[in-house]
Amino acid sequence: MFKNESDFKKLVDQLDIEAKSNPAHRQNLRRQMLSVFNETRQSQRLYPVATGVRRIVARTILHSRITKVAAAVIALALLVPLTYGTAAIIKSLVGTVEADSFKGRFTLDRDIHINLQVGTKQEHRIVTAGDIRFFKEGEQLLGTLRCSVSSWPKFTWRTRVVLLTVEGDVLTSTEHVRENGGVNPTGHAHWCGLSVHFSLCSWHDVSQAEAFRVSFERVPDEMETTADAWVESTQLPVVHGRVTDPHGEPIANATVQIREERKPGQLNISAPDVRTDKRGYYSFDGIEWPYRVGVLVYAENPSSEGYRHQYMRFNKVLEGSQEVDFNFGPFPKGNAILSGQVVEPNGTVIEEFNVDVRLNVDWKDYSIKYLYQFGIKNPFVASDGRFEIADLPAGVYKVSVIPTKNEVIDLAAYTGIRHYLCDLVDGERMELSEQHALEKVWYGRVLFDDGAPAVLDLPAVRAHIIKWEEGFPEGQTLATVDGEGYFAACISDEVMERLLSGRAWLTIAVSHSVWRSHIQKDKFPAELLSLHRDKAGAVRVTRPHTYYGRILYENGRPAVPEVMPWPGAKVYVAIRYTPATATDGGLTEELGDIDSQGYFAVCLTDEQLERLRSGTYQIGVAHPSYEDAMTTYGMGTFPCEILATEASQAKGYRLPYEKMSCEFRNLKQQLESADKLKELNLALSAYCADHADTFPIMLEELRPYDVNDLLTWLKENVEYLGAGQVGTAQQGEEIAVAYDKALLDKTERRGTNVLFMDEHVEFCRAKRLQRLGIDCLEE
Amino acid sequence: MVLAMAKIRTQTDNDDLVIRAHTNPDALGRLYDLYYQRIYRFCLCRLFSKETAEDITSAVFLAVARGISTFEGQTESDFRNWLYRIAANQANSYIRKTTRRKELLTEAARLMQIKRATVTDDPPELDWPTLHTAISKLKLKYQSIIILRFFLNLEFEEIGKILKARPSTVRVALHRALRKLRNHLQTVLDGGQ
Repeated sequence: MFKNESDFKKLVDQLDIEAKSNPAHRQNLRRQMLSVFNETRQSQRLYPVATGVRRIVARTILHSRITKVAAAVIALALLVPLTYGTAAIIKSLVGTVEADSFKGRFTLDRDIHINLQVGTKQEHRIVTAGDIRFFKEGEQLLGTLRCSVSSWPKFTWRTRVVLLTVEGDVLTSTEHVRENGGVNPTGHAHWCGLSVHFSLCSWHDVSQAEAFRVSFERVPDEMETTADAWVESTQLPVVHGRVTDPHGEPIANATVQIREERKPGQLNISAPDVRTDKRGYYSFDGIEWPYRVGVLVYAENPSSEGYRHQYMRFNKVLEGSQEVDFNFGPFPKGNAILSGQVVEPNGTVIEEFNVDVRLNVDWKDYSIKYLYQFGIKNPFVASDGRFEIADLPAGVYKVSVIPTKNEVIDLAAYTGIRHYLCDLVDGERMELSEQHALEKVWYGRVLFDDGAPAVLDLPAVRAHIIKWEEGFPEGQTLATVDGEGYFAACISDEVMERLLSGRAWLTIAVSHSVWRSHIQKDKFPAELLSLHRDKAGAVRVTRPHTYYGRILYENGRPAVPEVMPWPGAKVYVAIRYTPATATDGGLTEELGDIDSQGYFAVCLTDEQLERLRSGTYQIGVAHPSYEDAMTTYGMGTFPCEILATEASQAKGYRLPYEKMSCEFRNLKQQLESADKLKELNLALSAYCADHADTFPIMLEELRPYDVNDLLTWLKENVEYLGAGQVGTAQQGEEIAVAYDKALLDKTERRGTNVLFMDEHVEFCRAKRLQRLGIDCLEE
Repeated sequence: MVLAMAKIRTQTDNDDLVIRAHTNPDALGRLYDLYYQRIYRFCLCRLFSKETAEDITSAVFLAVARGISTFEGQTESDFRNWLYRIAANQANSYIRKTTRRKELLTEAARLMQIKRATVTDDPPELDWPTLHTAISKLKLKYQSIIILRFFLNLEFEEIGKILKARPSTVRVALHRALRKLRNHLQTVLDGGQ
């Protein structure tokens, strides 16, 4: 080994470096270079100005560091106003979070457009303001600020309106605290209108007003809300009124639905819903057509899981400015009980479901002044599928049973929503049964072309019945074929009529998941459906073939991770439909996980296989990531040519090693190394405690601390950086004490485990290692 | 005296060549003939692979052809420094942009293993692939300094002009580079690769 420069020079001189050049390359390059030179000269002659400018820039700005710095300063000075301008545009596009303000010129009796929005980090625009109007009422200056408010999530904000003088001083101001109620009964947020009516100052102060400023600011949810000022005004909004409970107390945050009726009996949702304020008042003045007003009140903690609601509609078409008050009675209570058991038509018990019970009303009945409906939605989890809802008053109810597991890809639990109509009698229990159902259960059968039931050896692959409606591009999965090839679909008389008339139709798809509603395959004629299972008509479809493949790591062992990065982590294969053939720009159907030996099976028709061969479909392979449970690495395409018809003949596809994260490739080593570094940390802590917080010069000094076995590993794998350092855990959170150099080499110098002075061990990537002064691959 | 005069005369000729090369393709061609081998050697030392060295040499001389008309240098030494600067930048940029660095390392390691396999029990000796593997692990700037200093025998002042640094800075950097190189070499020779 060399000791100094001259030693090294001698070493280099002794090396056998063959630096003889290739004469052909030399000649070719000479020709090419001279040709480029001539072209450049020619273009300089043709474009003398551009060449001149370039030359001037090179000779002036780029000539010295000082001119470069000066040019950079000038560019920055120009950039600042540009950046401000861009920031303003971006702000107007994405909005600010939690606080925003707007300044404008003060004008009376005119809608002034303002741009204000506040929200949370996740939902940037919970409240947005559209316009503000100032007007005189008696001797007071009043105003109205119109906003749009999302119903979810819960958000309380303060609106401050300030009048400013010519000098910019505050003339007067007012503050209003409002909340959006945080109501999310349907599982989706929806937008409501909200007007803030405020009183600013006495009229004689207004002459000094030159400008106004409106600001929104998020405040804690528990802050007391402010009521509107418009009730004292004579300049009333078009629709207004008050919503109260049985005791005459205001109901805040009730949803007021204003519906325009442009033609008799035809309601349009052109006006947004509005909400009542703290004093139960609501108002809306953006309506142009005749309209109807209804109010929806949710009782007791509404959520997407369950709630009680009352609805009241003022049953008269209104025009012009109107005051409509609503007084809700107590939630109806009786002695009727509704019970039942939720089972699929094939007898499978459903364990998780919601039951929605609503009073059945005739929405076209305009004979009464107020149309009233109430309802209960309750979630149930029961192993026997049973439910019971008590305290219902007598009446006719529409009952919807909604299995909640149908949102999960779970073939066994998949079913549609069932609707029932039942007449409850006071003091009696009613058991929900098929005779109350609004849909009938229709049976059909699907067979393969060889006459066998359409059932495959692969449990994940099933035949599904999909319903399509005229004018709708997406189908709806109605049923799944059972072990004998039968299926049971719940179809109402209305839908059946459409199926028979051809306005709707059914198709069969044999696939790995129920989500292939974008593919239209063999039709199932509605005429073959029967109300009796044994009389069900059958349709024959082509039997898809099962193909097998195997996925391996680069070293030839099955692609099963040695250490599970997260529970259930698996390598899986999926068919990707390329945009050219998919209706919605590309979809992926998961085909399943590989087994412990790396094998997988896919079910393909000849047509699908042909598409795979032609490249319109691809079988993709995805590998779990160590980073989090949501991330997987796409590991390339499984070559369809090596799919085999027998599992024993399946050929292996080796995952490209380079595509895996460096952490995953070395996960096992990384975890072991972290444990060893933690052991080292214990020994170092003990040593520092005995030596006034001074780290040992060499790791050998740790021998008295019972680390003989560890020392061998440390010697081979660890670079010790703490020699002679003085420090404690409190002060050393960014000081590296040791790192695993073997792991660093294994990860191609992209990352390694580092022990820090604050006694934690962490896997650091190259960027961090560079900051710590550890030599690694430059990023 | 005659020899000294001849040397001065040659130098003046080459300076004149640089000035004429701004506009004259023949002069540029002659400069190319003078420097092709040196630049190729530099690229080969930096990048190890002959094919890559040829690619980068091409890139260097094509950049020269495009930029010579705006090049402000008047002497051969200016031209030489400019040429090496372009070569160093092109090599660095190539290494940064591509994943070729890993391939180069792998190739060097493979050659090294083949060589080692033939000499079984002897202590490992320093050969070119081994040394290049160790150099490749250094920072790009350190790599340039080592190649220019030891493989092209340039003085600190010249290296400083090429890399736009003071000679003393180059000297300190070289010292550090050699220290790191010694560590890397030790690791490589110990079989750490």
